[in-house]
Amino acid sequence: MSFQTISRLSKALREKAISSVEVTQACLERIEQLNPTLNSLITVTPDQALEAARAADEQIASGSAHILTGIPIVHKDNFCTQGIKTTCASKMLSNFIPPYDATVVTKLKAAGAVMLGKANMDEFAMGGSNETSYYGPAKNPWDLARVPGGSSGGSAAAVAAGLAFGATGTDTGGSIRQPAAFCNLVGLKPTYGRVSRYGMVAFASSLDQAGPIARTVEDAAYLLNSLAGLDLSDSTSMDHGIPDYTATLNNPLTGLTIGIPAEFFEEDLNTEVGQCLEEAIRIYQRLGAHIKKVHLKHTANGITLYYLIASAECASNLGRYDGIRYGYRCASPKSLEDLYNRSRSEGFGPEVKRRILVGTHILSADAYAYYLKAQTVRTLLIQEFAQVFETVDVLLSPTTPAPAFKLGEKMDDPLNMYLADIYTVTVSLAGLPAISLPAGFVGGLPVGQQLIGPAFSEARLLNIAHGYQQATDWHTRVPGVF
Amino acid sequence: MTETALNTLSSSHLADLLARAKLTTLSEDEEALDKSYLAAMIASAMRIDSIADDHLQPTTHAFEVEQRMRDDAVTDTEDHREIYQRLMPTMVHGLYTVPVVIE
Repeated sequence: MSFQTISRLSKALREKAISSVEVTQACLERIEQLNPTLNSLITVTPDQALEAARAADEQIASGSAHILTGIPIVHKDNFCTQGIKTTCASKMLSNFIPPYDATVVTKLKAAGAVMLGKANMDEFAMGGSNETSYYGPAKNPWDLARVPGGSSGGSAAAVAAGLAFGATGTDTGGSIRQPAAFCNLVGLKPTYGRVSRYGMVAFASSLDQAGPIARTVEDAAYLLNSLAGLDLSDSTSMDHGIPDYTATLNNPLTGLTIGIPAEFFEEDLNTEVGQCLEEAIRIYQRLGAHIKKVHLKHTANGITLYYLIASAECASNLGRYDGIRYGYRCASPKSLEDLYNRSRSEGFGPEVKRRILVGTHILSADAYAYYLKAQTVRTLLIQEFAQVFETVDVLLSPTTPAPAFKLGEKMDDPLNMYLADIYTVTVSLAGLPAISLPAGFVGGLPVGQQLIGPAFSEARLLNIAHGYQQATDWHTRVPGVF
Repeated sequence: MTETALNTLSSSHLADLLARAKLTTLSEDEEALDKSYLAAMIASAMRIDSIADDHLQPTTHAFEVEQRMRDDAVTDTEDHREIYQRLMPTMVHGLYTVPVVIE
């Protein structure tokens, strides 16, 4: 049962073959058994989960259940949860209990989903391995010596190990898609503004976007149906019609034109991962798609643009953590200045401090021109994507250059670590939607493929990805040890 | 565009950045890594400076959006000094007095 899809479990719940309390209890037992090894959850909320499950069973009995009613999920620990610790995997927020729910949490609660707990992540979502977490790294269920990816690594590890049936994540430069790829899952980064950022702890506000992590494309569509929509509490939330993302899943792929960006298939790409993508291309062709080679030459600057812009926004957003209002405060401060400096130095981890320093530098008077230049080249990048989408419907690329790497392998070389995001950051800079889904295995480790679409094309991406999953079985495989 | 003294990242420059970011000094290991990291990021920033951008505008938002909360325009801030000062229970020489929280 632990590896059921949301759609099948929901059917079983509505047919009374099993109750939400029974499913939730089973998940909690599995968490108790496996989480000490996986470290995928920072906080487990058994009492609240069982209370929500009981309410879900009543709703199901009354005949008014939503597809997500009674489904156990986990939230990434950067979504505010009223009365429940929200740490962002940082010492800085290790004692923070929000007085309100994030909109994402409110919406899934309204749909009747059962929150089991809060998932581990890279500190303040800064990292691609989950190793910058103050609570220690989550482990990849496919190989416990390897990272589950990041920053939404705990969310992905929990779903991949069968601790939960779906999860929320956030994606600033690939933080939903990369862990989904490393853990053989589906991860969708919606268009910027598609899902509310209200109550999501800010890292880089022009890039941050929430989305679902699930076992199948269909499950991701059900989750997005609940998550998407205008929220007046988020000034960048977009007022754009919300389709039923499940309604078009089975549309045929005939006539579809898929662009293959040549720059995403160059020497950085692991040969065997490249072979998995070639096989994926053949499958799309069999399904009726046309393949067209395209160029995105400005993607070569993606990593630089991303780390300059995101770090600038990070330095600005994290200025609020001063040890005064909330969060960690150092012991026995000697002065106000000492309180600020030591609270921040002791409360933030090395990677967060590093990015604050870059951001502080790039926003300083003598370097601000570089920040403006980065934002201008970002305009070029956005225009380049727009031009390409005049000739193709979607783009197909690897999600990552290689499968999951070993724990500790890249921690001393942050710039090398950033290269794992090389295929995802440009999409974030352009605000576009993209989905990662399983594309095969290399050496027993999952490989992800990424489909990128024009703004608000989530329904089309889900349709294409679902078509692929109907023709393949990669997504049905689960980690052997579990 | 000025390149100032950013080609090489000195300890004093790092110390200045730390002070502006309200962070204390780093450990030796952290300092060594952060200096090379910062230097690499600065070098990357310089590399993109050579990209022709045809006088495009910097991105402010990935899409055309309207500010719902207020007009997207610079406006003068009204002087609320008198209003705010009337709210304070105690003042000395026009400055608020607040309880001492750190001895």
